[in-house]
Amino acid sequence: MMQETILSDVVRTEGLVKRFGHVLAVRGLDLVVDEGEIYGLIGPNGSGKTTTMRMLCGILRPDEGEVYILGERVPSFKVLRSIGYMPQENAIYDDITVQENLCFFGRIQGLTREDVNTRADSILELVGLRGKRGALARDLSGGMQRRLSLAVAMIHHPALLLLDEPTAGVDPDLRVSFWEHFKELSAQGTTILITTHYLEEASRCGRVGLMSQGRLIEEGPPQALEEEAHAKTLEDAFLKLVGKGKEEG
Amino acid sequence: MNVFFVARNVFRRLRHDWLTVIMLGTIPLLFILLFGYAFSGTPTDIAVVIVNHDSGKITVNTKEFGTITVEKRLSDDLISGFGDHAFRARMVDDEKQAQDLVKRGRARGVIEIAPGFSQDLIDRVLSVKGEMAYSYHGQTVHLLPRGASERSAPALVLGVDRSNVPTADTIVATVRSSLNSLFLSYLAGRDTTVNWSDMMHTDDLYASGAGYMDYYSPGVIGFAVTVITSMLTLISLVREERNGVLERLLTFSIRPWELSMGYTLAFTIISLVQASEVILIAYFLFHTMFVGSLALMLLVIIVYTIGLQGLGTLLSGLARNEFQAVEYALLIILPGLILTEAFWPVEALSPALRPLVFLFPLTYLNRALRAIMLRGAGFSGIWVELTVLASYALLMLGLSVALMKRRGYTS
Repeated sequence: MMQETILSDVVRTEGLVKRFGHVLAVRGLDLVVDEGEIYGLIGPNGSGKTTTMRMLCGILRPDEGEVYILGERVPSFKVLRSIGYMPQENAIYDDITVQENLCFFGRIQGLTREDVNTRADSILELVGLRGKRGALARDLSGGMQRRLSLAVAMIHHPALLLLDEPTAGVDPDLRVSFWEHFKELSAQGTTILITTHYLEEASRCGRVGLMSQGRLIEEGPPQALEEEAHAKTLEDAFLKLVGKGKEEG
Repeated sequence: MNVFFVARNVFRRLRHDWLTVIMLGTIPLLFILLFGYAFSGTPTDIAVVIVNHDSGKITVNTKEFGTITVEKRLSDDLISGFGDHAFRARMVDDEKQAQDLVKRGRARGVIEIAPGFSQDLIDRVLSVKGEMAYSYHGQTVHLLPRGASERSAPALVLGVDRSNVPTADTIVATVRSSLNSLFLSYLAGRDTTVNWSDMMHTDDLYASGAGYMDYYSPGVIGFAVTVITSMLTLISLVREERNGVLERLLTFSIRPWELSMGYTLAFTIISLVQASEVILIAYFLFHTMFVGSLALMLLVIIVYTIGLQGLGTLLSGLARNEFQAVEYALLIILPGLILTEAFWPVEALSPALRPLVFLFPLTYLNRALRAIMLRGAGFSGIWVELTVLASYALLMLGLSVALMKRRGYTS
């Protein structure tokens, strides 16, 4: 029974701690995200969401604790091909075209030129950049650059998508289409760990984790959290639970 | 008023960038101090080899005793006339051994003094002076000219490595000056000069006929490669660091060494294109000397660029913005201008700064390029420089990969 649980865990952290000087950014985080799940990490600025993301994808070394991705203990070079990471910055080459960006990142992840072209078609359609394939990234609007960044994260069809504020600066109607696609990916088995400060978006997640001051103070399906906090919206629930967490902490 | 606000804002931003403030203050100081202390004017302590065959036996006619033979090695006076600082002289008995030292770059020139040097000099003096008093066994005798004497070969032969034009010129000028002084000392009181132009002969052992343009060209190539590669590496990497691309790349399945080598390959190709431009223009437009192997030259440039790119990667880890990147690049470029023999030989620098020259990889690139372009040196002629550059490249590449690993510790 235990073995089955571990196999279906795509993300597992145990007692994760990260310090920056005297600042404790993440304090003993235990997190489990199952296969095909959309898990939302929400919390105020400085609550440790991005630090957690960066530890998950191997950019930051935890001071304490362990990270397991797809059963592999991080750091693991092998697991990198299964991760698609979208950081808060756009992190794209702005002096090459949209297509060239996708080609470069796709080839590094082991895709053939043909695979890249095929994947690029569908991904550019999804992010609404099909007509911008030959445009220089620096000539795109801020929202379009954000969409290109998302496309780069998805180009190699990863099993785990780590998306740090993916919809920031994206038009509302496109945000809706993003979420539809996330649901589709989730249904196909892709696991998505997402941070967002749009709480109405977070309510679309299968489960959300509320982070405050580096701690995971509560987690569960959005509706369950609302009920637990006797709140009408996730935003109210968040405020009540964070307040309660502070009193207890 | 807005002008004032904009200007004040610039200083406000600097206030939060202490490294830039320090750099802004120290770089001009470094510049003037290096220039001020670096140059000692004429090259000094030039390594030369002296082969002195002067017998010191002088046969002369005297009023008092007819023909006599006296012993006086005037070549010793010639050598002491070089002064204490002009040359770092090594005496050897064999011309071949001397020339081998020049070939191996251990000396810049050979001063070969023929057995009849003293005789030739006194004959020339007496032919002008007519009579000269001389102390012979405690008695003053009067030396007289012997009449026309036969001279088969110059009594003083200089062999210089002209691939180093400043030192070659200095060797010739110093020997000429000493010889002239020697004549003047024997002609004291006479308002006349001796024609001794055929007494001294100069051979260019290497880079025959090379001029200053030929000497500068390898330095320009090395300096151009240094400026562009350091700027390009530092600014590119700092830019990628700042916009998050570098960090993102490290979450992709790419090894740090692959990333480092990828940048190295690209910047090396760019450096080669630039070096080729300089070589072509120098060769076809300015007709600079090029007698060596182009392939060997490009190989040396590649090895140097790999090391420089590694250094740029390391410094990019320290720079927080493009502004600081440029300042770090200047820290590479500035010594490259002065302390690497790009435009001046080590002998032209202040003695206190000379050991520093050997700390800069660009010195070895400049030496290797000069040896290839002007002396036609092959592998055996530049193996020391190539070994130093390769070691430096390996060290820098290793350190830059380690830095990449630290940036994204997964790989």
